[in-house]
Amino acid sequence: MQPASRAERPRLFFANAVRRFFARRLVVLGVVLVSFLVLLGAFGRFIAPYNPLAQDLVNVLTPPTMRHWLGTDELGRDILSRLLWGSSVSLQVGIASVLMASIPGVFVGLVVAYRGGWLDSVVMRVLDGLMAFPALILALTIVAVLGPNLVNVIIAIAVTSFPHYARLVRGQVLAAREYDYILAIRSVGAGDTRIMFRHLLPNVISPVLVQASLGVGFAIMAEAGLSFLGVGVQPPTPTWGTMIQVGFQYLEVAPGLVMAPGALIFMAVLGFNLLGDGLREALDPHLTRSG
Amino acid sequence: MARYIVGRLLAAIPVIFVIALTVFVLGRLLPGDPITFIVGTSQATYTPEQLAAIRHDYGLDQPIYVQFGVWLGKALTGDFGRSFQSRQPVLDIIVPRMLPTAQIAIQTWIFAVIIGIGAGVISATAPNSWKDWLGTLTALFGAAIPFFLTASLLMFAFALRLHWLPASGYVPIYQDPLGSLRSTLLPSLTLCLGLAAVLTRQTRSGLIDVLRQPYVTTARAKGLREHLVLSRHALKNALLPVLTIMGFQLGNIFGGAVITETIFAIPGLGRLMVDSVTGREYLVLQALVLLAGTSVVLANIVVDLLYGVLDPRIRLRHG
Repeated sequence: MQPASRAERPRLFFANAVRRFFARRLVVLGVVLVSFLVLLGAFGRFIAPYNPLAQDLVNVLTPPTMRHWLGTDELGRDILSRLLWGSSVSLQVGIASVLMASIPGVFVGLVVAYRGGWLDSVVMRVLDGLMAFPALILALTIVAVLGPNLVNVIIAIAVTSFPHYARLVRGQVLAAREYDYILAIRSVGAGDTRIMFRHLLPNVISPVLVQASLGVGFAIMAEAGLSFLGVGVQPPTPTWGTMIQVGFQYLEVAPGLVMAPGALIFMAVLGFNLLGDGLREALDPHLTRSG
Repeated sequence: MARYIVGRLLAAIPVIFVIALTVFVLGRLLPGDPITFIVGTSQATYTPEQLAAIRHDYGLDQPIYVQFGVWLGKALTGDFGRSFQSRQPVLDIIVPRMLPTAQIAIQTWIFAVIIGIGAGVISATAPNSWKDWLGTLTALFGAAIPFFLTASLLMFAFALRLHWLPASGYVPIYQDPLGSLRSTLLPSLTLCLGLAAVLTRQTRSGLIDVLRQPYVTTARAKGLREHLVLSRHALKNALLPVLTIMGFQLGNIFGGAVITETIFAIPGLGRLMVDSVTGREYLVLQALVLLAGTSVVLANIVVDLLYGVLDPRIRLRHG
């Protein structure tokens, strides 16, 4: 039985998982990209050469120079500094929205799958309904209703991703519920709460981690999309999305205004996607022996 | 077969009900009096009697569940209220915007199928070769590149530098089919990249699985040429899951339309949605969100039905 062998040799499972994780070059690329972005998000604002809001109306839309490594925008603000500050907004949105979606998602998925019955049917129909909306359109509408600011952007992205976590966890728990060891635990008198959180919850952590990694990438893309449409984080706060929105008007004369933040978003999404793929393969217990 | 169709349609009803309820609740979440939702911010220009009449007309003086019923009943007959700025019925604003979005969506699908399935087949028939590696890498990049980056790269290269295609605007297909294609080519290419990436991955893994099956070996053993093995036997089975993806991805195309139509100034539904957010045309927005959610559900039903027609296991079981 898989769970038993896993419990016997947790250290070996972990070692194998780490080995499988780093065995693929693309996964390593993902780790490098994600680490780079996390460092940028955490410390970027301290190494930014200029104040991201400082205008220099004499030097607007300059190409890259020694003073401004990536040039300046339409108000003479240093693009590199704005990108560095923007990375912390993107990272905040990514992490906060994933936490806000995954924790209730795991809880709801766990409870409805364990309880089953009418509760499960009703909740699943609600989740199906929410998932039918195109993600960006639902997020756009929520922000339009709540008002455009950072917190509401995070809420909107969390609401659109929440059903995915609940659905994923429900599927995992439905399968895990049937394992013999759950029956054994119940027969020795363990209560429902204990079974759910001590014994079923560990089964869902791996897929949730994978989903969370993909979710950070999605959230960064969605925040940029909302800001680009003018309903996300509002100027003058430097975010990658707002930079693209403004930069677009100068695409012909200064394509870098769009390309630089666009490239960072691309790197972020690619990094988190690769990380998610790597986690999926590394954490799959069925691969323990072959790995 | 008839039972299968009816079963699918019945299963969609609660989902569509949840969609409608969500849209209704979102409308009520707007801060302040729900009447703002109907008359916009121009409340001051109405007399109290007029406001009371509107309130009564929309059932706002009734309990909330009655309001939902009234709203849903009107929505089902296509009555989404009137724009508070132009006083035009919302439906009359939406309908003319459908053509560009639908045209771009269909073109996107065609391009994505050609690119995605083509790349998937090439990858699967030569696994671990440089072609496979290139296909996989392109699919990874295609899935991660944001629409606005693709759109600006394409616009910069083909419109602003090479001047091959227009940078913005839309020519209706019934006026000038070729000009229409030119005006929608860049938005379609932008949207198709992500879809093609998903299709490549699915086609590749599906086809690799199918090619390992005994019936493919049999087909090869009796001397069938490889391209016939692929087209007659393997692809049919490998492409069934691809159909499901096409249904699911309709939502992404809608989401992407919001961004590409803004970038390329296409007067479609996506652009209308952004305009209705910035212009606080909440009734238009409400109708559009309802439309987007419902059409995704309907697209998935169509896909399920096609599945039933194409897959004999489903067709025969439900006889």
